[in-house]
Amino acid sequence: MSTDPVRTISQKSVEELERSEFYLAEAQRLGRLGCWVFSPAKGFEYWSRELFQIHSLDPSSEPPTSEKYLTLIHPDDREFMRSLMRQMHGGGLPEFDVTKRILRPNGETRYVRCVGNSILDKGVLKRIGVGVDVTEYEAAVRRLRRHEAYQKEAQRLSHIGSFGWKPDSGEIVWSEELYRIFEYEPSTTITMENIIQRTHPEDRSLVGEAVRRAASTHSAFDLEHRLLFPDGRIKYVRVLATPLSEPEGDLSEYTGATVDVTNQKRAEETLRKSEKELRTLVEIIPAYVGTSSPDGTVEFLSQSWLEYSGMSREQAMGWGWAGAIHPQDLDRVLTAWQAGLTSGAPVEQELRCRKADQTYRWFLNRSLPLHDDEGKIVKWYGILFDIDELKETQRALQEREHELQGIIDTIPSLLWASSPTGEITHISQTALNYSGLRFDDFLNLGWKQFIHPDDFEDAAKAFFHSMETGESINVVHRLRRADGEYRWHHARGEPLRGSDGKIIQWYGLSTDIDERKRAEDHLRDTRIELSRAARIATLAELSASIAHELNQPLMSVLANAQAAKRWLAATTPNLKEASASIDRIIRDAKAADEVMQHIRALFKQEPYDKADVTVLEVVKSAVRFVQEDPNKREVRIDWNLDKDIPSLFVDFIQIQQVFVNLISNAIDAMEGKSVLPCIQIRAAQQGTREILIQVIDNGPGVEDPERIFDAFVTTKRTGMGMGLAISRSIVEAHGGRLWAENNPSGGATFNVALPLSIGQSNHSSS
Amino acid sequence: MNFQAHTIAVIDDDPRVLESLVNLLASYGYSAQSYISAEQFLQAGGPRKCSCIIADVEMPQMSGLGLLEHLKGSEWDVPMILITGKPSVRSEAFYRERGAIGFFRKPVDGDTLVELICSVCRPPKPDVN
Repeated sequence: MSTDPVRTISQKSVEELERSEFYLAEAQRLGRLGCWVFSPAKGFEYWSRELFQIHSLDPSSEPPTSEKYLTLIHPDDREFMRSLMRQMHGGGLPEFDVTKRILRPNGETRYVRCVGNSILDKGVLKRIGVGVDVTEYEAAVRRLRRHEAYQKEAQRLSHIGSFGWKPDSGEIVWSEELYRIFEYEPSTTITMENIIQRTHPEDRSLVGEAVRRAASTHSAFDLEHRLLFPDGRIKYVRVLATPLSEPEGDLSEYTGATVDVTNQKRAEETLRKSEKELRTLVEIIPAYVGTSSPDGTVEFLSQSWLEYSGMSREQAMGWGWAGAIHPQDLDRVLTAWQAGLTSGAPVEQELRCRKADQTYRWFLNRSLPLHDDEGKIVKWYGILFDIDELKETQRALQEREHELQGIIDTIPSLLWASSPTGEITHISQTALNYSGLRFDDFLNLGWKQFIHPDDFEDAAKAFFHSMETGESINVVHRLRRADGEYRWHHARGEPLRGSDGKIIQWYGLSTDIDERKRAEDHLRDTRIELSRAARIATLAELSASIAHELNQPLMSVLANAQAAKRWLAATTPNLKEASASIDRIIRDAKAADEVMQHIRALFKQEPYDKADVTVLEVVKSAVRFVQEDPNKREVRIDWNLDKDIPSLFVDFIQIQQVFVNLISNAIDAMEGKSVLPCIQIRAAQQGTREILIQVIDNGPGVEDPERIFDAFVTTKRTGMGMGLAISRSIVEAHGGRLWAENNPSGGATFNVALPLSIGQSNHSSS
Repeated sequence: MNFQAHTIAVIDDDPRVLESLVNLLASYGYSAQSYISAEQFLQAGGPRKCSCIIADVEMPQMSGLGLLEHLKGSEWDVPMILITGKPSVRSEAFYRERGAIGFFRKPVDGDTLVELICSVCRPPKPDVN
C-alpha cells in the first residue's frame, strides 16, 4: 500500500486523507457502527475496526469466513442468516436491511441492524454495508411494545378507555377499549358527533356543556353520563380529562380516560336499595338498634330509640345514651359493656331505660362485635328489645309461683304428686316435715313405712285401683308422724289429664283429720252416753255411777241406824229421835230398791235405730274402736267371715257395743297370761234364719258359762260385771241369743246369734 | 265463841246424807250445821263458825277437794274430813297430802267418823252415854 502512487501525489492530500479516515473511524466508534465489504466469491473482504468491536473480536484479525460468521449469530437467527448469506454468495439480494442477534464470545447477546447494498468495484459486483449495534434501541422498542400491550390489556380488563382530544381541531384519538365501550368499529374515525350520538338524550346537554366549557377554559373535567344504544341498553360512563401541560404545537390538547362504571353503578344502586331496605327494617323492627366503634362510642342509633328516649341525636351519640339508663342499673350495665368491649365477647343483659314520659321500661340488650378478616373488632352492633311486658308477666308468674309454693308449704295438709303409673314425683315440704322422711324415702313404694300397717293394704289397693281406672282416690288412713305417732288422714287424689284425655299426673292431698276423727268419735261416744243414759258408757264409769246412786241411800241408812242405836242406848233413851231415825232408814232403803229397779229397767230398753248393716262393718268398726285404746292394740285379732253372709237389720251402735264389750273382755281375760294372746272372729249363716258370730279367745276360759251373764259377776278389778248382762239384754232385744262356751283346747267362745234381716223389717218395733 | 268453835259443818248435795249425818253427830252430842253446797257454806261465813268440816267430794260447782284447797293456807284453816259416794281411784293418802285429816267412802261407819272428829274437837256436852 505504501507504494500506492496516489499516496505520493501530495503530502497535503495524504494528511487530508488520514484526517478523514480518523474522522470516519471516530464516527463509527461513537455511532457503534461498523462497516464491511463482501464479495460473492470470497465472502467478507473487509471488517472495520468498529465491527470487530461490536462482535467483541480482536480488530487486528482477518474478517471471518462466512462459515465462521454464522457461528457468531444467535442460534435462533442463524438459519435466517444462513439463507441470507447463501443469497449474497449467489449474487442475489441487491439490497437488504435486517436486524439479527449476535453472540459475543462471552455469551452476551446483542442486536445488530445490518444494512447492505450492491456496488461495482472495478467491474466486480461486491456488497458493502454497515452493522449497527441497536441493542439499546431494540430493548426500548420492546419495552414500549410490552407497555402498550399491558395498557391495552389493562384497559380491556378495567373497562377504561383512554383518549386524546384537541378541542380546537376537533381531532379525537381513542384507545381500542374506548371503541369497545362505545361499541364503534375500531376503524371508525371518531368525531364529537359520534360521541353525542351515543350519549343518552337526557345527558346530551350535560356532555355538550362540559365539552364547551373545556374548550373555552382549558381546565380539567370529570363527569358522569349515560350512553344509550340502539337496542335500548344503557351504560354508565365516567369521563375524566385533563389538558396536557405541553401540548403539541400551539393548540390545546386533552388526554383522558372514560370508565365504564355500569357495573359499579348497578352495584351502588343495589347497595343503596338494600341500605334503604335495611334502614327501613331497622326503624320498623320492634327493637332499638345502634352501632358503636370498637371503643364503645355510639355512632348510630335508630330513630325509634331517639323517639322512645326523647333524646336528640346529638345528645344520644357517643356515651349520651347512658343517661337514659335507670340509676340502679347504670353501674352494672356500663361494667358489663366495658367488659364486653375489653374481651370482645358478646354482651347480653337486662336493663331499664327511661322513656320520654319519664317512666321506665325493661329491655333486653344484646351487643355483638363485627370482626374484620384479621379478627380485629371494627364495630359493635347492639339491639334493645322491649321486654317490659315479658318482665311483668315473669314477675307476676314468679310471684304466683312463690305464692303457690308458700301455700303448698304452709297449708297444714300433705301434698303429693305421682306419675300416671304411681311413682311419686313430688312430696310437699309439709309432708316431708310431718313424716321426717326424705323425698327418696317415698320412692319405690317407700311410702309403705308412712302408712299404718293395718291401713296399708286398703290404702295401696285404693291407690293402684285409681291408677288403673283413673277414678279419684278417696281413702282414710293413719299416717306416721316423725315422732312415731299415727294420725288419721283423709287422702284425696285426682288425675290431671292432657288434651288427649290421657292422665299426665296425679295430684293428692292428705288432710289431718285426727282431731276431727277424735272429735267425731268423742261425739259419737257422747251421743251414746246421752242416748243410753250411761248404759253403754265404759263399764267402770257405769259401775261408778250405779255405786254412787246406791251409796247415797246406803250412807243415809247406815248413819241413821247408828244414830238410832245411840239415841236408844242413851241414859235416857231418846225415843223420839230414834223413831225419826228409823223412819228415815225405811225411807232410804226403799229408795235404794228404787235405784235397783231403775237400773234393771235401763237394761231392758228396746233397740230404736235399726238399719241394714253387714257383719264385716260391725266387726271391723268394733275392732277399730277397741284398738283406739293403746293398751289393747297389741293383741292380734283375726277375722274370718263368709263372703256371702246376708246383712243384719240391727241398731248398729248397740250391736257394735256388744262386740266392743266381747272383744275387750277377751283381751282383758288374756292379760298377764303366758300364751301369745290371739282373738278370732268368725261369722257364718246358720240355718235359714240366723247368723252366728263367734268371738274366740285363747285365755283361761270362764268358770261358769251361764253365771257370768248375771249382773255384778266379774273377774275384773274395775267395774261391776255389768257388761255381759247388758250385752245379753241388747242381743235378746234384737231377737237373738248370746252365750258362752269353754273351748276344748282352752280359752272361751262367746256366741252371738242374730236373726237375718231379710223379711225382718217389721221386727224393728217388736 | 266457844260454842261456835265446836260446831261441825256438814256439806253434801244430797239432803238425805246431810240429814243422817246431822242426826248421827247430834246423837254423839255435837252441834252440826248442814250446807247443801260449798258455795252456800262460804257465803254463810261457815269457816268462822265451825271447828271441823265434813264435805262430800262430788258436788256440782265447787267440789270438796276444791273447798279444801280454797281454805288451806287461809286464816280459816279448819280441820276437814272428805267423804265420797263413788268408787274413788284416789286414796286416803292423796287427800291427807292435801291437808285433809281424814277420807271415807260412803257408806261411812259412824263410830270411826266420830272418833276422828273427837280427836280434833271434843263435844261441848258430855257424852250422852
